[in-house]
Amino acid sequence: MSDPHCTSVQELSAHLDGELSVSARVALEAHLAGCPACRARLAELRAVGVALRRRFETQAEARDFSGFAASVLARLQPYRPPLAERLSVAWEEWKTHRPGTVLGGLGLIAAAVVAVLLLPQPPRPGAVADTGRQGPSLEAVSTDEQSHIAPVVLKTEGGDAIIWLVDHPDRPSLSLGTDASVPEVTPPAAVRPKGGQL
Amino acid sequence: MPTDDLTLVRRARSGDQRAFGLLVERYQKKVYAVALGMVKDPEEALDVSQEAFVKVYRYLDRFKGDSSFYTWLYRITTNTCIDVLRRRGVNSSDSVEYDDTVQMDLSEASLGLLSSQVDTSPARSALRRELGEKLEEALAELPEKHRAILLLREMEGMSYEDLARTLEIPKGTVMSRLFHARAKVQRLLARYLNDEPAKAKTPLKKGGQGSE
Amino acid sequence: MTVLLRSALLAACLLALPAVAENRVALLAEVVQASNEGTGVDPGLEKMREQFAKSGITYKSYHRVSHEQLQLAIGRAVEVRLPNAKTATLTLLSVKGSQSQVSVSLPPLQTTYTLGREGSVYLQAGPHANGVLILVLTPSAS
Repeated sequence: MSDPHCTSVQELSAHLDGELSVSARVALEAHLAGCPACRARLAELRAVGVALRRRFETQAEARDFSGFAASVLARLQPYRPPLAERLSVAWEEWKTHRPGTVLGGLGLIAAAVVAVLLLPQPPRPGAVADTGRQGPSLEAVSTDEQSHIAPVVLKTEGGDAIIWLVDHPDRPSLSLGTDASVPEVTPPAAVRPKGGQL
Repeated sequence: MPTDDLTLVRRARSGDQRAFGLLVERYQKKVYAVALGMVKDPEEALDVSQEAFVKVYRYLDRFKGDSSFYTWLYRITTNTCIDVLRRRGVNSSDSVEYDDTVQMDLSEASLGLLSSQVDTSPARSALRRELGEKLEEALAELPEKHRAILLLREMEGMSYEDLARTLEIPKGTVMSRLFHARAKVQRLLARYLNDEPAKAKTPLKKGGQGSE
Repeated sequence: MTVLLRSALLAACLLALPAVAENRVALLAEVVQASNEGTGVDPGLEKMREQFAKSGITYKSYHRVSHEQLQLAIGRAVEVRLPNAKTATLTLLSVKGSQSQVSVSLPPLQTTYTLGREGSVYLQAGPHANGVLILVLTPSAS
């Protein structure tokens, strides 16, 4: 049963947040001194806050944030257009908006020319066409003589090349990291990628 | 190098991504904690947190520096969370129910409930965990705006003035909205912990005045 | 501007400037951390995860730690510092048309390879945190 002299819960809420005026706070504290019911209600309000904070802060603390900032930065602008593209855009814009000043400013012309030079040249007549997607081709792969590590080369379906490092069975073993990080790679006896592609 | 927020913001604005990275590291866990309270799912919360920082970076030149960086950051965070929640479609009630009989419910239904649960039970940690889960459920039942203000106040200890700036509402609204958020959580918690089959969806008795 | 005038200008400038395009290659160097902790795969790395998985290397998460646009020129080594205190040194050996020969030194690994306009090379760069670092080299469109 709530005593009409008891403070409103709204006032308790404001008091909890330290947002009562000085006079209101003094009056409230005087009341609390003699009212266990209101003290209990205040404790209730405080307990909710404490539990809430603990609940989410613990989860946030338990989370690994080591890659977070990097992920944010990577989401910003993963690829800046290469210089040639940027110059060619600038050249196009310049041509469009300033037809009258063709010969003005050596710097401007030089930049434009560099753009033309760096742009991919149109295919010369008779040139052999690209045979579809061509990935990199590895010519030499080696590891330092003294190291215990041997390279393994894998060619992916998309034509990319993966160079992985594994403990060489003939050499004394060297830990490559925690067990969790060692992937499921079976070092092939010969350096042959899967699927017979190379 | 001085590393207060405004210095880092200024450097980030002129293209210093490392400075921006430092800002992210400073606030990442706090932003995540609030996002977690808002959207509940941890992976979604992580994604939303990153999205919030991306927006911060993209809108850096709009940040005037007249408010503190952190209220601006939290505004973006809560708005991003609210967008996500609205897209989900669940519990996206813009209108808030106000029940003036709340006061009576509190004093009768849940007196002494929480404090004792939190402090004195012998199986303290198990009960605390259950309380934490029930608390999350209760929070999820709140309308987004109530959830946001409660999280910002409790997690960040934001003053009413900062809350008003962050949520772009008058200070008087802050006080009443917070109070209603707390009252509703307490009422929901009391029901959960007393194992009442009827959850929060039971219609509230409408009070005399409904005021914001 | 007429075609004739443009060609004349071009010719004039060609004589004056060094053959800039011949000895340069643009490479994108990304440092990726792969681990079995967490399940996040950064946007843009999903294809990497898939290719790795198909090749027998299964990690659960891939995070881009850094990325840098490199300009390789013949005779000038470029360094990429990795968060595990290793440094990768890249040297452009030769350029023939769209094919360039690049040598990479990332101790204890050395490799020389020819790259065209597309395709990536993934180099394991050692353990880091609770996973491994991978240096990804991809030619940039040029």
